[in-house]
Amino acid sequence: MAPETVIPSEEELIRKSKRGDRQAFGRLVERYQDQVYTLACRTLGDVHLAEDVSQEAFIRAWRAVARFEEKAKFSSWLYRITLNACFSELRRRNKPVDQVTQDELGYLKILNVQTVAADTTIERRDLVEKLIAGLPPVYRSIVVLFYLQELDCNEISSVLGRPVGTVKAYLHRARAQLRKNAEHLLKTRSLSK
Amino acid sequence: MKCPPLQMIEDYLSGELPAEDRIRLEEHLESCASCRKVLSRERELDDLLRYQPILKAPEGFYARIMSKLPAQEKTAFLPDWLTALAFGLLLAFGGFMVGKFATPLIGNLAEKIAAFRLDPEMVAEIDRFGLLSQGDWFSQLSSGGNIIIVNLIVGGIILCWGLWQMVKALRG
Repeated sequence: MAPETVIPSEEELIRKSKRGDRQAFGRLVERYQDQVYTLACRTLGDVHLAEDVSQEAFIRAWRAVARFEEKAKFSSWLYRITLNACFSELRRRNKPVDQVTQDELGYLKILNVQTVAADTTIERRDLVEKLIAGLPPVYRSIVVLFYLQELDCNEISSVLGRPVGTVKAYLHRARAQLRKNAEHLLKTRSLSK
Repeated sequence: MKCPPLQMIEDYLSGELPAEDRIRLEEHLESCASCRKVLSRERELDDLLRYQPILKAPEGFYARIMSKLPAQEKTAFLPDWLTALAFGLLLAFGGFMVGKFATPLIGNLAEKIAAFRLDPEMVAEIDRFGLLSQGDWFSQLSSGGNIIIVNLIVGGIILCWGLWQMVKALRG
């Protein structure tokens, strides 16, 4: 009979990490690496940069985990560190956090032609990635946290350190922008039904 | 109900609309084809946005992080509340001890200084504004009693803060 393996709870892993247990922290890295990497990729719009920044985020989290208050949600705390790392990297490169760059605008012009054929799951996934890439970084991060990580506006507000009203307004504007860019696709899909 | 703002339809879809507004909106939707169209368009956008895949971290990602982890910052030897408690007790006790043992010494010093300024002519010459003749304020101030009081107050405040932190830590 195979020995029973006990999966440690997140609380247990956090407590051990706080005491300097690298192995326990490693388990947390395994648990969250995809989410953190996805958030960084979407926010930065650059996979190579996202890899470096999300690694940096985990290292920052390791340094700060002793000060993590266990009443807070670990994932939210980790996302906050990740986004801080993303935004400071963008600022370091003189890229605006709440505006779209010229490159991204150009990308969207091509996108409108491509949307027509987005019928399969893979194509839809590809489309949504491109649509999100056409938003300013801070909007992208909100869209990922809301739709992918399924955080509510209050949680996003604590992750971003901005008021709930601001988060709602950003989400609303992000949707308006996405709708505008996706309109062509939606129209095509409605007609094909 | 008039046609609602778009934000309300978005809140409805995300489940963030209060129950009362939700019922009103649903009633309105039954009778308004144009809002039903908006709702269906927004739902399509929602569905599309939920299609975002979670990306897989690149190969070796985990190993690279683990190899880069620096030595963790040492946490404080004692938790905050215990430090405050110990500091408060020490300060209050220290104040008491200083008061108790240093009073005779300070008192002696004060007496010597007081004796020095007893010569009225000299005092009058130096003390044109009459500050020194306002009573023996100096010997009062240096009698040690004030040191005890100040230390007990400061120590007491820190002690209370420490106790409060301890209660919070035990509760939390």
